[in-house]
Amino acid sequence: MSQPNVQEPTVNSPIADLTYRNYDGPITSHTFRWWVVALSVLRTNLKKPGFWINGGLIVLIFLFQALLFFFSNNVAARIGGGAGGGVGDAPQKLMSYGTTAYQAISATSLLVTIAALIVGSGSIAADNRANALLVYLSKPITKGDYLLGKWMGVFMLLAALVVLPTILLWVFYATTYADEGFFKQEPWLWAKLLGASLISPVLNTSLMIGFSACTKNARLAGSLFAAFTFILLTVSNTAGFLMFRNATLDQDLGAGKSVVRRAITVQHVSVRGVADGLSMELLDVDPKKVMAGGPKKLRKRLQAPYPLPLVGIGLLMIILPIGIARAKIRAVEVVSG
Amino acid sequence: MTADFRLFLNALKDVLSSRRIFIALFLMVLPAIIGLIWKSAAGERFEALESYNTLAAGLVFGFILTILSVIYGTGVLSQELEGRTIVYLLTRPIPRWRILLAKYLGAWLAITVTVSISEVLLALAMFGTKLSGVPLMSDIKIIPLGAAAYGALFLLLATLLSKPLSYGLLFAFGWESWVPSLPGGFSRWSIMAYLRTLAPHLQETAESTTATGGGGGGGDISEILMAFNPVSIPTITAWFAIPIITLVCLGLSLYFFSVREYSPKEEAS
Amino acid sequence: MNVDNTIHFEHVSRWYGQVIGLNDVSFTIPKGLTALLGPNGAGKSTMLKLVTGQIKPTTGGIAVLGEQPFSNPRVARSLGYCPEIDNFYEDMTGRQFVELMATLSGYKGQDKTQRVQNSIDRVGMSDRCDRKLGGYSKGMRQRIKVAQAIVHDPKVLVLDEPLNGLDPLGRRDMVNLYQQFAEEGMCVLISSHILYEVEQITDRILVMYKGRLLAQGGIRDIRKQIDSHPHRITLTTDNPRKLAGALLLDDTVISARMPQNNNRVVEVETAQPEKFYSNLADIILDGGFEVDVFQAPDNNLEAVFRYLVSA
Repeated sequence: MSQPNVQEPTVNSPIADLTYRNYDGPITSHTFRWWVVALSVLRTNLKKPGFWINGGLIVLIFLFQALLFFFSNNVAARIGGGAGGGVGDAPQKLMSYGTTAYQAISATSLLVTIAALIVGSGSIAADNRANALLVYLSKPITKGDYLLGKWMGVFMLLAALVVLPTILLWVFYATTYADEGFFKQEPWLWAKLLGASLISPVLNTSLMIGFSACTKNARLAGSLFAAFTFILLTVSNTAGFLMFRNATLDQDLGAGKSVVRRAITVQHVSVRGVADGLSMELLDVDPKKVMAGGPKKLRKRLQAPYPLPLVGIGLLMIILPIGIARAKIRAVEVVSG
Repeated sequence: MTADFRLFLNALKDVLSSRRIFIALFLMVLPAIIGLIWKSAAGERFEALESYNTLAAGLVFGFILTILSVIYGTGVLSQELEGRTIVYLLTRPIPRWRILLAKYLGAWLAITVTVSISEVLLALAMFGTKLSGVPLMSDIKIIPLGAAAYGALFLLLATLLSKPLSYGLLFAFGWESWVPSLPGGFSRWSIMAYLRTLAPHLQETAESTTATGGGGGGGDISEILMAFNPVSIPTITAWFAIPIITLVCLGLSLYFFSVREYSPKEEAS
Repeated sequence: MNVDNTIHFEHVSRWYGQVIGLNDVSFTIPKGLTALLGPNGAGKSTMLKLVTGQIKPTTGGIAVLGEQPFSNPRVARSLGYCPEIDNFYEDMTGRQFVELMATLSGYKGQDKTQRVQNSIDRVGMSDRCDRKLGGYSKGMRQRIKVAQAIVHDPKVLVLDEPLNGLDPLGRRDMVNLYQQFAEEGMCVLISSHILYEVEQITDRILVMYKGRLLAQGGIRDIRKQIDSHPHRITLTTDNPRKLAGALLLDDTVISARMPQNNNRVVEVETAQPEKFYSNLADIILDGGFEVDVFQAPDNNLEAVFRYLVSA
């Protein structure tokens, strides 16, 4: 057992002997104390039917996209002719591997947000309400361990919802199209898919933890998170749309492509938008193929958003709520009034 | 003051509590603020009617009405259950259905007033005081209907499920977005489709705002589906459907609340 | 069955999925003060929720004032409930909360105001009722809960752990209040797991354990019924061996022993306590023993409870 740092008691401190604070006991390594907290989050939430319903819906969406990919490329192959009839023989693929995966991941972003609400709204709020923080923080774990444990618990649940179906999709590609040069064409697709699938869980987890730490009521935390997410989505979509319209009109008058790209970037300033924009970048997706609806004349001008601003906004959505959560986590409830 | 009226006032007071009032105020002014930004950014290209229709369809009806209905509609019951104050209501000499009805009416009024003010502010921002020819009154007429229908539906979810907020959001932003894209008569399963039927100017604009939809799976597929789905709902159907949906959902909510058990759970360990 | 001011359970069971909360319980509670005893998980809260109409029994029948209580406003009109939960509308003051409950009970105007003031006065919160509930101590919250339960002059008052959070003086005041309610003709049902407190409140108890009703009635009556557990009596004397010998000659004494840790004490067991007590005086006088302390540790609620539970 390591010797604790001994602090000299000071005249002004309310508790004279502070030596207990640096106690770093022998039971388990400090590195993994957060795991105990994360495990309790996992245990609590794996029992919730809402979590599994979300998971089932996400799997269905991935399955739908996989089938769509399979049948559309079969059709393309038959149109292209050739005895092989495989994707590699087709003169043109209707959809690329990355595009299909992007569409699946994007289509599930609402479900990931709902899942974050289900598993994360009470993560810290319930502890605030039950005064459990008094218990947690009286044990030899730090605020950081507690926060990391909560964050990791929620993140692992959300990541599992998206990453597992994504892995299954990659396995589908690998097993079905291995003979047709899948590994040669996309040797690093597995890494890109992993990255793309983790963005939404990271953002949703951080935001949900931040809101949960600010209140004692899980329902209020969930409502605030939902309001923030959907308000931002709606405002950015609307503002982006308006800017896009203006930008296309400016383009008609000779403005460059960057005005449209700026407008599309503004449209992606939301949780879903950041996840979609960065996934598009990672998976090399042609925005003309995935952005829905509208007259062909406008769709031709669609471009991917600028990734760097989205990275900045994403980092803000991660760091700020975690910082707020850290500041809000307290063992003692201060009652005013 | 009768017990029912007191419950109704309490429900309103919940909505107007210090935290929630800020959200309500923010939502009231949001469309107007965006409209003003649009107006100043567009300059000479600004078309007031088109902007009003776009923002009314996308923001007021497509977002503010739905999210407030989810939060307030589910909150009628969920708040009492989670706050564990439902015990005090259920042990009073008032029939259970009257408790729920009074609180529902309070929530309905709050949603209607907030969304209506939002709509009025938007119109004022777009047109100033020259409101002739603006479909403001026709929009305001259907706001209470939308609030009643959505509120009743989410109240039903709250009486049946333990986490109605999540399912409500899934319906409001998942189902209501996707169902109109499905082939056949699936749009008849969407409340928003009926509301837009009653305000046709919102329907055209709703479709055009998806021109650049930020991601969202299957651009070509949804186009194909929409091409096979040229469903239009007759106005008379919409006028009947919305009250029927409201009455059925509200009736079922009151029934379930009267016969089911609502006992607060022990504090979580 | 006397329907006035009674609570009546007839073969009531309540299941929570696979877990049984209440197992074939039957009893009647008349007017007066009755305590519902049991450890945590015994089924006390389940029983109170059934009485107050929050939940329904899985099997069996319940009647409160002659009617089934679930979702029944007629029963609620005459029933007051003080729950164990510590949750309120925190933004309200204590007075506003009691006023709300009075309004929901159907009172208006001056009548309502008077009733609210009376109930607040009775629970001793007159000087603190205009503060927000969020800032109340546990004891204050407890008192306001009782105030809202009595504002409509109920005939049946159900109190779930009503002494929690109260200081000793507060407990004394509230115990007096509950006894007053009982004297005024109310049927008062108090649930508790603090045995020595219940002993001071009332003699009439219902003992619950693992969902079953183990006993009901007066404490001493129940004690008499427990034949398998003889009464223990301890006597402190200067000559314990001789006294033990004299006591063993009495027919009512089953055994006598001298504990190792105390050489002045004799512990006697008897299955006929009343006869033993009447013989004891003669035995002591005849033997010329000096008895300093006489105790009957079995003749209390804790002993009764322990015997019932271990059986």
